[in-house]
Amino acid sequence: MSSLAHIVPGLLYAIVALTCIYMARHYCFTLNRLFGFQRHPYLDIDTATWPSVTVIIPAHNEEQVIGHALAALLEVKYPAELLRILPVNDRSTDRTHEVIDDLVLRNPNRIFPFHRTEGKPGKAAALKEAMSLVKSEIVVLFDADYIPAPQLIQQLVTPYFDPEVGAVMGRVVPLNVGANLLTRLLDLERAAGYQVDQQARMNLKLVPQHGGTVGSVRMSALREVGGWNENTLTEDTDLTFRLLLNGWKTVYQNRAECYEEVPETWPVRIRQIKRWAWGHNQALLTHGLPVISRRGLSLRERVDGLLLLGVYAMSPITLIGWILALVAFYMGFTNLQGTLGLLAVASYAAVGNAAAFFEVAAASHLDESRNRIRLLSMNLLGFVVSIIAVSRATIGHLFSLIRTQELAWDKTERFRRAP
Amino acid sequence: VNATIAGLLLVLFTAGWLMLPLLPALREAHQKTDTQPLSIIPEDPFNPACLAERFAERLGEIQAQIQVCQRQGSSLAERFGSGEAYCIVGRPDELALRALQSSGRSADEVLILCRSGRLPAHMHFRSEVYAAEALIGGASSVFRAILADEDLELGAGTTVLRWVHSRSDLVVGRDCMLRGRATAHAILRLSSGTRFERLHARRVEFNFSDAAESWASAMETSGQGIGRESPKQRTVVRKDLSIPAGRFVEGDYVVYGDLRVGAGSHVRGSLKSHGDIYIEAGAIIEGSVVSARNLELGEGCEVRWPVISEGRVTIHTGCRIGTERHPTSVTAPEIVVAPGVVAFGTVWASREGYVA
Repeated sequence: MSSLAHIVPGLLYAIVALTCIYMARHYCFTLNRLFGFQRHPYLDIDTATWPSVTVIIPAHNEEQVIGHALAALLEVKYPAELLRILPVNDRSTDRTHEVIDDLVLRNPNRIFPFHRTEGKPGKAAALKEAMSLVKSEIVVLFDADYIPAPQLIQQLVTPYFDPEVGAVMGRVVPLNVGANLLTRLLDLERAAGYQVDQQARMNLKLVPQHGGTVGSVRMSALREVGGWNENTLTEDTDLTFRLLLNGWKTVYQNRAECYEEVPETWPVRIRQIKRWAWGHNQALLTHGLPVISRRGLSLRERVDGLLLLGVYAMSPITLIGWILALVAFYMGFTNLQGTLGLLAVASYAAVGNAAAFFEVAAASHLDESRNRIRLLSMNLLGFVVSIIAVSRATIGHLFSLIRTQELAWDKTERFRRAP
Repeated sequence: VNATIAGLLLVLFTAGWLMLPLLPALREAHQKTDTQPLSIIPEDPFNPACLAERFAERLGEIQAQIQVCQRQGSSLAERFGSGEAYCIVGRPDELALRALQSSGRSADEVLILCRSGRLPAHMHFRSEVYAAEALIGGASSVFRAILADEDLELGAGTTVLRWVHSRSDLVVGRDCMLRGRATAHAILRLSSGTRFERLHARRVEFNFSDAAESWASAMETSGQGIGRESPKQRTVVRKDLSIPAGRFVEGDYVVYGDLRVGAGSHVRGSLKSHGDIYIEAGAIIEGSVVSARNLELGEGCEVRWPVISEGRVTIHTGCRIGTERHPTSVTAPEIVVAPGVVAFGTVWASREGYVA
């Protein structure tokens, strides 16, 4: 009993310390975006000898959306002779093959499809096979439900004039915002993630994350770090850290915007976030120690890299913290009393709990979208759902490590209808 | 009973208190007012002349009137469909322009000049000016924006507030202030003392003299072939790096400290430094040069790909950035350019550029 009285408060304080670190990170990012210097070093390159680019669109049963994505890509402002569009039809059982081939026929010498009929499932595996067809130095990646803006390719290419840049990430903007409450909440969440988090990381020279879509990668960098890792559920996070550890930078371009479709039902959203959590935690286990120990990383990159890797692990840790707090309170273990205790709890309740919401509000302000901010308090709902889903995914991941279970790819369901 | 009512009231009050922050959310969820996706198609960032093109589109609305005035040499004062006033001057002779000058040295309406002419000095044009032929601006004038279909010359001490575009050559006099975009289809020539933000032309000349011209012409022959598609070997140096004078180096270099390239060196690859970069006189860089801090190009240097700095770029006499066949960009918060420099493409100082 007495050892429990030491362990529980000890663990609890450790969790509180971790939570406070993440809270400080939220505030640091938000204040930087609101008042700090904004770094866009590659934004003003409007004239150059542009390199040839291959755009890869992995598509598994995407008959509803692939046509839109390809049509938008055919309209982008990039020299047509330098742009090779490569849809990767990954073992689709619907009309994806026909939709692609129809567009190929109507646009000769613009689209070069790769129909994959066998092999390991999953986006990373499909990308890995498609790489053998790439002849250009720059590869741009899109998901099949994405609709790029006309200038997007150029914006995703300009940073490669910097020989240190290995990958570039653009901003994802939800298209189906008005579908229901969930899509509206996800719109706010995405805005915070890109408009605040990613751009602040860029400003502060931290570790902007490659999202695996609306992004590009330098082939020589990709080859140097061993190509796509097909044994992960989040090949994007994995790539970000392998590039970082090998001296390449990932750059975020906030103005390189692209529409996406966000999940319209909670079960789909939960499956999506569980996949992200699983893959992200895999990356934590794989790259956590190298981020601490590898030579060549700056201190700020190490700290931000670790915090980025640990984002999804924080959900179960927070849940454990809540349970420990209850245990400590009812068992009388805690010595957090008096004025200091009251001040600590009150100030965290006032400031700490609001940190993530402050980010959302700042993103809304920066986007000049005035009214959607009214939904801010409803994000609490999304937060609760996420914390449970991510915790379940993390626990599932831990069990899978014990049972050496094979990872299962779960494709996000689309809601848009084919024209 | 009182206790029950009091209890109920307490519960209701507490529930109401907790619901208070949710009221705006409930209202927005019920009465949707902001459900459109964010707009992601801004003005074309890769077209430096897009503002001038947009103005030209507006002029399309009154093209017929412009043609009539041009043919007859007459003048016309009217309004656009939006209500904005314009004035077409069919023959901008001295008399018509003196009348403009006597109207208080300022013109509020969009001014459309059908024939070549010279504008009076010390004028303030609060709306756009369009010249269908060549135009010479008077000294110390202030323009909101100017579009010229032929050569355009801005007098000394001119201020342009938004943009200036010539569909031929643009010559900028001494000590001008070019806020926003200054673009020309062919040659953009700037004189000393001029401050600028965004410049774009096939060829941008900074305080160019005949001597620099002949020197630059000689250099033109050396600007050949860039092996863009062949990935080069990349070397990461975790301290300062100095490439000795006269060396030939192939490959990309990423330097964590300062970088110095010796005089007359030839680098076939791109250079990046987390610190300052100093490229000594006569060096040739067949690639881009990127500095996280300040960047200085010594006399007669040549850089083929973009020059990017997060601090100040100083370009000394006789430097060439890009080539006629391969135009490129120079971007930095501050750019200082010495006389006799030629850049092909864009020179963009996000804070301020200055021609020494």
